[in-house]
Amino acid sequence: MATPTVPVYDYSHAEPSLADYTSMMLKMYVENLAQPSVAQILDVGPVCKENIMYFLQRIKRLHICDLFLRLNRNRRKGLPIKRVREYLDYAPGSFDGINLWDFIDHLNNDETGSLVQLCHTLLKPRGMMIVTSFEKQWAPSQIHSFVMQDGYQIIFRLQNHLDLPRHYYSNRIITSILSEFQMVKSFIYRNGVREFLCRRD
Amino acid sequence: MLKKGKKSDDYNGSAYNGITEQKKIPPVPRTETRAESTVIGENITIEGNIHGNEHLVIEGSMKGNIEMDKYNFAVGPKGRVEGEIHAQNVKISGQMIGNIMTKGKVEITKEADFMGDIRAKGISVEDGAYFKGSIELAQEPHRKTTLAEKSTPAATAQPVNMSKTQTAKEDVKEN
Repeated sequence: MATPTVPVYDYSHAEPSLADYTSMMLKMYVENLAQPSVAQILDVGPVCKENIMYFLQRIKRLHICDLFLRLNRNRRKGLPIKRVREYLDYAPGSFDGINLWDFIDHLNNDETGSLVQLCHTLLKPRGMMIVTSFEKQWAPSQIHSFVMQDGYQIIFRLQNHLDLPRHYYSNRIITSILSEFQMVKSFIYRNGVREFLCRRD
Repeated sequence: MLKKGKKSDDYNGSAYNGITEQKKIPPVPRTETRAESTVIGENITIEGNIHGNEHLVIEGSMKGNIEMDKYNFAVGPKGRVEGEIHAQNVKISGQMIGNIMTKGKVEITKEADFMGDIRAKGISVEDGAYFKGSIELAQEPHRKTTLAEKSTPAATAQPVNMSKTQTAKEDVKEN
């Protein structure tokens, strides 16, 4: 999928504090998973014990493929970064849900387009995908995990071990990238988090 | 190096009786984790299956399956294991490729590099651990009540309504 070129921004000059928030997207996602007792969800990281337990209490099986850490390790070792899709070697139609918390912001636009296309094939029909991205002026320079709490509350936890470049995608570009999906709902919060809930037809 | 965990007998055995006759050392209570564990040292490589009746720690390299349903199994920070694990509780701090089936808890520490599927009653994964695989809780999951579960199956299968009556200000606008 061709998307406009995205510049890389330097956010190191300012580190805005990340305020907790209540995720409306998470609420809709969890409440609309078809047959949660047999549902299978893929999370691409970062690994977070709270999120693991959060989903395991609601669904049958949680799949984790920590792409953050894999890309980070390759980058630190100076290894060529394989295309993200090589790590997601799952069969088509495997998942009822896919979680992309703050991940697309760390890929260039070609990789993001490729990832989203792959996620489309990995989802079962009517499967849902959650995508978050930061507004440019609020994006933290360091990576934080989105930690799920009761009541759909999200708190942020710094992941010191991760160091990946951050890109900025406008709403228009994200909408374009997600055009293969049916957009269920999108939200923007005062802390700069943008949430997109989309569904495969 | 293969090491045997210290047994409580070492502290009050006959070899010490003469010395400790006047001031007798009270026997150390035997605890399973302390007294009955075997450590495979970091310079040891094992190929083959292991059936065990005591706790096992792999600091070296191991390729094969491990069957010790009633005992604990651990992979140390320098340990490398490739195989299927059946144990009571499992702790992974090193590299592991394979599936884990436990009746207890699995702990993946931040140093770990794990690829495989886990079925356990409890799971703990530290931030920083590499994980590729899946997790399923062995017990019947305690599912929190959601609106979807309260509603009819037909209703849960319906697409989320995107009617214009929903709060439009929540929708991300194009920029």
